[in-house]
Amino acid sequence: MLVISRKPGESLILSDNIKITVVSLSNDKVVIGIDAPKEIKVVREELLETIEANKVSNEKINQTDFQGIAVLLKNKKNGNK
Amino acid sequence: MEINTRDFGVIEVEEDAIYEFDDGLYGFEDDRKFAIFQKSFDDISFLYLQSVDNIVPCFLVFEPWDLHPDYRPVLTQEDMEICGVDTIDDLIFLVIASVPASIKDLSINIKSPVVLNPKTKKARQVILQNPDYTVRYLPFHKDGKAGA
Repeated sequence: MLVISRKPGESLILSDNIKITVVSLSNDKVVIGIDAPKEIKVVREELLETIEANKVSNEKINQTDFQGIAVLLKNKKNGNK
Repeated sequence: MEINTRDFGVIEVEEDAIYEFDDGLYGFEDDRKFAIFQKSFDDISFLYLQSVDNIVPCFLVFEPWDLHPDYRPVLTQEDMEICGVDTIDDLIFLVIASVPASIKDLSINIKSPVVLNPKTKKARQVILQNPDYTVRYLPFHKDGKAGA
């Protein structure tokens, strides 16, 4: 991964047309501004991951799987691995 | 009322088991009404979150503390306000599971739980502030990760 340091107010340019600016800093948070053409989709990583996870979770579950899951749950409750 | 489910055909659910998601769930923004119902297998109850209007989306869900005893969710102030609560103790938390072919690798999304307000019957999928929480926590592996 390319790692660059920037101060608040400083920017980076990607592909000539996307500008990323560090707006402000606090203890554990960076506020970032993005200037990009409309067709560039900007989305927080965890949101994209959540959409993907929801899609996978929407799959039908086989009835036979429940027995296996029940056993795993019981073992976990009993403190076994 | 009767609803048509993905995995169990038509079943009867109580009116107070229906929750309204004003924003839908991520990736499924069109479905706003979901029912929570239980199915028992081997004297263990499983919880389902099922769209009322369609057979999908439908999710197997768990109460997170059953699978992650140290779970400490932190919501944004904005999410708390939208949920209409001052403390997370007034919310019911559910985490959505994915069940792969190898059941031991069942994962739960502890990063983006579903929170329900039993007073208002409103619900919402929130993305937590906890940086270490993942959308694929493996409760049946050591430390919730594969390879351990």
